[in-house]
Amino acid sequence: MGTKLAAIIEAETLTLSDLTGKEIAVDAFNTIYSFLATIRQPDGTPLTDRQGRVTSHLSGMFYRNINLLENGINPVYVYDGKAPKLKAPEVQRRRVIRDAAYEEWKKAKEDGRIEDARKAGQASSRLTGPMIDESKELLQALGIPVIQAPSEGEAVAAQMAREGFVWASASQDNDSLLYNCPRMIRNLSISGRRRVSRTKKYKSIDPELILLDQNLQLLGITREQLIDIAILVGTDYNDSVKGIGPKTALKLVKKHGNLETIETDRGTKFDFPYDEIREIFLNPPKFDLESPKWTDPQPDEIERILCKEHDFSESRIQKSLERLHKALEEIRGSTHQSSLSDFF
Amino acid sequence: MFHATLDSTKTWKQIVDALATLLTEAHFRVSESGITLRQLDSSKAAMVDLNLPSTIFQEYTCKGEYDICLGIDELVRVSKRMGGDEHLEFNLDDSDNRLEIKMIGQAERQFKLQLLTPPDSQTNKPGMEFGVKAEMYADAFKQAIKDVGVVSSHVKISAEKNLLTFTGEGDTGEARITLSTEGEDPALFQLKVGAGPSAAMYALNYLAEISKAIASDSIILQFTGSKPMMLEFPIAEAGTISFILAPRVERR
Repeated sequence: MGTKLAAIIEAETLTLSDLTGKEIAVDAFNTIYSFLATIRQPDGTPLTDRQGRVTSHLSGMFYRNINLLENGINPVYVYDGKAPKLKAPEVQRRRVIRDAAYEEWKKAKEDGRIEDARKAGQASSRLTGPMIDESKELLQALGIPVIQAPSEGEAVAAQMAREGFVWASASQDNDSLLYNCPRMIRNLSISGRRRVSRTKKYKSIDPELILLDQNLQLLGITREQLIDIAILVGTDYNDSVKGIGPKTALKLVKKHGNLETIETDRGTKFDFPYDEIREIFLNPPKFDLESPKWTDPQPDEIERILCKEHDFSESRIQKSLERLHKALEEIRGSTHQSSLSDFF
Repeated sequence: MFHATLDSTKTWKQIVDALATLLTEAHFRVSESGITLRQLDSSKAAMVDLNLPSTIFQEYTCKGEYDICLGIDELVRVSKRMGGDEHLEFNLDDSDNRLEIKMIGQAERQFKLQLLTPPDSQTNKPGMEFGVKAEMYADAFKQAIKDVGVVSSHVKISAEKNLLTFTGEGDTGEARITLSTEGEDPALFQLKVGAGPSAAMYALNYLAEISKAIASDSIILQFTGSKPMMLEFPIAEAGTISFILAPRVERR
């Protein structure tokens, strides 16, 4: 879920080809959840194999990454580890919403309310242990590195971007900025369009690049102040302060400097441990990074996971893998096509 | 005003097919002396250079200079309608923004193709010198390209003394085709090898397309080590067409 800062953050539009040749750390949970939510039938039923096991995440992971690799983009997926203690109420809140959505989905489907069913189905998306393991296996078979973070994955992805192991971190979630990620990419997506809620219309979605320093400069604040703004607006670790949206929060923090002064000037204490929340963003668990390595895809292993285990169509998977093989040969092979302008 | 006639629809089809291998739009420059075209393909890895002197046409009049820019798909579709026993007439009126192509046989059939906006800049012919010049049977070249295509997506061409060698290697195996100037009726008519490196690698997807367009019996292939190659052949008797192709180079 993360933080609703979009209203005050400036982003520039990109195309996938702008990212050719770049390494990008991707928030794995964020990505898998979006597949589980969107790769569904019109009535909200997820894709399943013959045994009824959900396969939306595998389909999404496979086609998304084929597309990235074909565009010469090297993704590395960072998985969340143990959630910070402060996240427990949020995790619980989401579970309640999810369970309610699941009940609503079944009911709406029975009543034939397709649109309600689709919406409820999306909200009922559940990410299970086996799904996490399968998605890791599939990524490794695609030759894509996987990193297990000690705590929040976005913290590690931000560290990777900051320390130059990757060019940018990709997430739908602005928390990356709070974790001091210098470059963040939103909408690193395959389809280029997203359905507008409750309509049959689609709006086109382009990848966006958000530069942390540029935004801090534009807003005239420090990263510490951005974190304070985020806390006022509400994070995964605290509820929002009533009546304060991103713009008001920005005004308050710029006027008062930080949360402490806001408290003093207002004469009331905030009812959340903001010092502890700041710590989550400012000092995430230390993690020793290694350079991620990309290898050749293993078609046999991919076919085992997708076709043998989960009943994907062999001919479709093989066709995609052949296309990928050709593209990778062109991108990673020992020679490349020169341009005539290199010579005259 | 531009007007020309051509007796052979086959010749015209060969020209269009050759252009269609690389281009999506054909940008002809029509002048008193004839028709020329010089364009890069969209990836800028290859160039096509066409020269049709006015003498290949039976009737030819052109007052002034014209840019005639046409979509290749439309041009191919119209050309497919041409019968073997028909002859062709091309007309462009100053007032009309369409090229008229008439097919005259038992019936007289007239097509008018919408002109597209020509590109702002013209492609200049690069000054090039080549270390290797080989003249050979077109068919020997076509077969060599097909052979290497069995195992690889690139071909390495090298020249030494009287031998021109095409090699390729891929995951599944290797291929090697050698053409010589020696023996009776050799595949190579002539081979000149200058000083300096004389081996270079080129992408087969381009060469396969280009070689399909070769309508002559012989071709001239020129190249230099790790530099672009030029493949030249006559078209419509007095006309010429050449393709210049940038090499595959080592990744830095």
